[in-house]
Amino acid sequence: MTDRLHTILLVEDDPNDVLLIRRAFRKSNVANPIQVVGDGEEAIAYLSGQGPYADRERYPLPLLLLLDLKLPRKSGFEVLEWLRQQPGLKRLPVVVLTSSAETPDVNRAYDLGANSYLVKPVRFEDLLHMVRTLNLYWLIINEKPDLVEIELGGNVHE
Amino acid sequence: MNNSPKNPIQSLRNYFGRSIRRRLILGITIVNLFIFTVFMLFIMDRQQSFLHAQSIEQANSLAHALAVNSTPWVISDDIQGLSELIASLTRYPELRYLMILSPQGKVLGHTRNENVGLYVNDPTSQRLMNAEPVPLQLVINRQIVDVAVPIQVNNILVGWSRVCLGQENVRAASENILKNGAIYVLIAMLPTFLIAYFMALGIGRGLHHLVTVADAIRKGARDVRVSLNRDDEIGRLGNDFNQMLNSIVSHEKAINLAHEELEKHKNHLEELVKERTKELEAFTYSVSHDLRAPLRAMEGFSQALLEDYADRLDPVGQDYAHRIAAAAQHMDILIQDLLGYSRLSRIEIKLRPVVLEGVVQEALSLLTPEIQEKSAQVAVERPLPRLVGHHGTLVQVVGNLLSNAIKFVAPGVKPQVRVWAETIADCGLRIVDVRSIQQSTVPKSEIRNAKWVRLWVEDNGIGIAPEHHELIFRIFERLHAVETYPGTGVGLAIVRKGMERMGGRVGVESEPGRGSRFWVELPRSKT
Repeated sequence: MTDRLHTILLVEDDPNDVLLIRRAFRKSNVANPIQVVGDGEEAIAYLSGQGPYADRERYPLPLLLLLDLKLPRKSGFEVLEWLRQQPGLKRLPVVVLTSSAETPDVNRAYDLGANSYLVKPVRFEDLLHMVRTLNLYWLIINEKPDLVEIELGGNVHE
Repeated sequence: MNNSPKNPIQSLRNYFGRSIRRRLILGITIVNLFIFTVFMLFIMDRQQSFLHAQSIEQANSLAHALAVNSTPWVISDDIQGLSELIASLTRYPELRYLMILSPQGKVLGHTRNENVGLYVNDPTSQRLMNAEPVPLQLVINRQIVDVAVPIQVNNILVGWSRVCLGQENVRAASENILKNGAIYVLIAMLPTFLIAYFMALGIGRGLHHLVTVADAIRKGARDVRVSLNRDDEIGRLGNDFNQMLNSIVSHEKAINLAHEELEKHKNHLEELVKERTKELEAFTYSVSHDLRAPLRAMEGFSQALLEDYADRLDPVGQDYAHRIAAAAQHMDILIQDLLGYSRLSRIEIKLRPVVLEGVVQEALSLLTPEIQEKSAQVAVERPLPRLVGHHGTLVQVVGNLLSNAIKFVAPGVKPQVRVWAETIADCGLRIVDVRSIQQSTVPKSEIRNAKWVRLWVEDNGIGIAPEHHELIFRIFERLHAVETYPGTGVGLAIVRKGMERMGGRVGVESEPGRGSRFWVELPRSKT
């Protein structure tokens, strides 16, 4: 697993944002594979390896979660809350990438265990800058924790 | 309750002062005693006068009788006969003496024989020697009655018959009257006292009842009433008291009802405010999330268009793409400013002592890029006082004022800004945001009594016409085109809202071409 580039899981429902973020990563020359899910439930399904996501060859466990907060079905807060309760996944670095700069949102995200909180800039130039920094910090400099895959039956193995 | 009084008058005053009943009994008793005593003395006086007159009458008739009977003996100068005549009268009650005198004052006969043959020489008797021959009252007083009657033969004075009676009986009778009278008065006083006592008791009992009821009412009881079955003033007082009580109770009920109603309204309003705040928060959340997403798309894709398809866009097409991006960016700033303004209305502002120096420093450091870009000079006159406010909000307020001062200058003019503070006397009522006062960590009384600090921000800018002084504080109001002076028209609205939330005031002095002087006011902090 360590040989391969770390996968980034982007939880984002707005296709425009997905496109722009992908473009920003591409323009910043970040080669890490980006997996995208469109809502909170799907994010949980992906992380816990349910359904099609059981195939870890196709859907590898990410080492960075880019999480929007306003999502259909389950919000980013709920995903975060769930994630931090999973014994094998709770260490996964989560960077909230959302529109709101409102203090209650920021505080709640950190309370629920977000590692970073970024507000999506309107200027693409700013987004580019942000993605470069993100890559540098979270994917290159930052030490990654060990994550433990969870079996659907509840058994745990490496 | 009282300490033991020092003198008896004080103690008497205390004893009677504490009870109307006691004063009433004392008063009736004293008045009656006075009336009885006067009455008794009057009777005694009348009785005494009567007895006295009677005694004088007796003395006169005795003297006459003696004069008539003694005439033959006087003419014949028979001392022996006179002596026998007098001796026969010696047992007359109260008799002091009897005397027969010659016109020259020689004692011809006397109840005491040894005086016979002597001459009288006392002043009273001397009067007789020169007197006309008519009956005379020589001495009339409380002790004795002394009278003289002339003895005449054919109108020739041959002697005087003189009688002196003592007044012991009259005195004894008077004393008797006095003694008995006193007893009668005392006997009469007993029923008087009893009547006074029971009268006072009746009045007192009514009053006591009233006092007890009033006391209970004062302590909060509302089901007690005065029950006096009487038609006099106290009874009427009791009835009036009951009526008053009834009206008080009904008023109280009405007030309580109104109070409950008010409480209900208050709760309802609070609910409503909570609901509205929630709605506003949801709205803000939605604005902050949803409204910005399309902007990002507009900006991002117009940029993508410019970068990835530049070869297929002519300059006009590129200009359009640029305009789309610029409009999106401007709208983003608008939304952010709007959110900032609405955040100011929603956040909790706790008033506490604020170091103005720190506020100005922070605001200046946030504005460093703008100051450098415009080569602005900002002079701060120190020291700056401490005041009661909210640090973060104040930084925003001062920052916006400084930013405006730097921004609104005529082209080519180097901004010169002067910042200073002055302590002013409080000039009356201020509209204060109740929430901020309620959440203040500084005592309300301190805020109310505090002197106020006015912070001035003066610039050499383009100035503002007086008719626009009010307008500029409204949200989204702008006096200039965005091209001339960029901005959203929220800055001064935030200044005003922030000052309102902190219980302060804001104002401006300005004329076009003469620069502007903005001021904000907050209470001075003692700590």
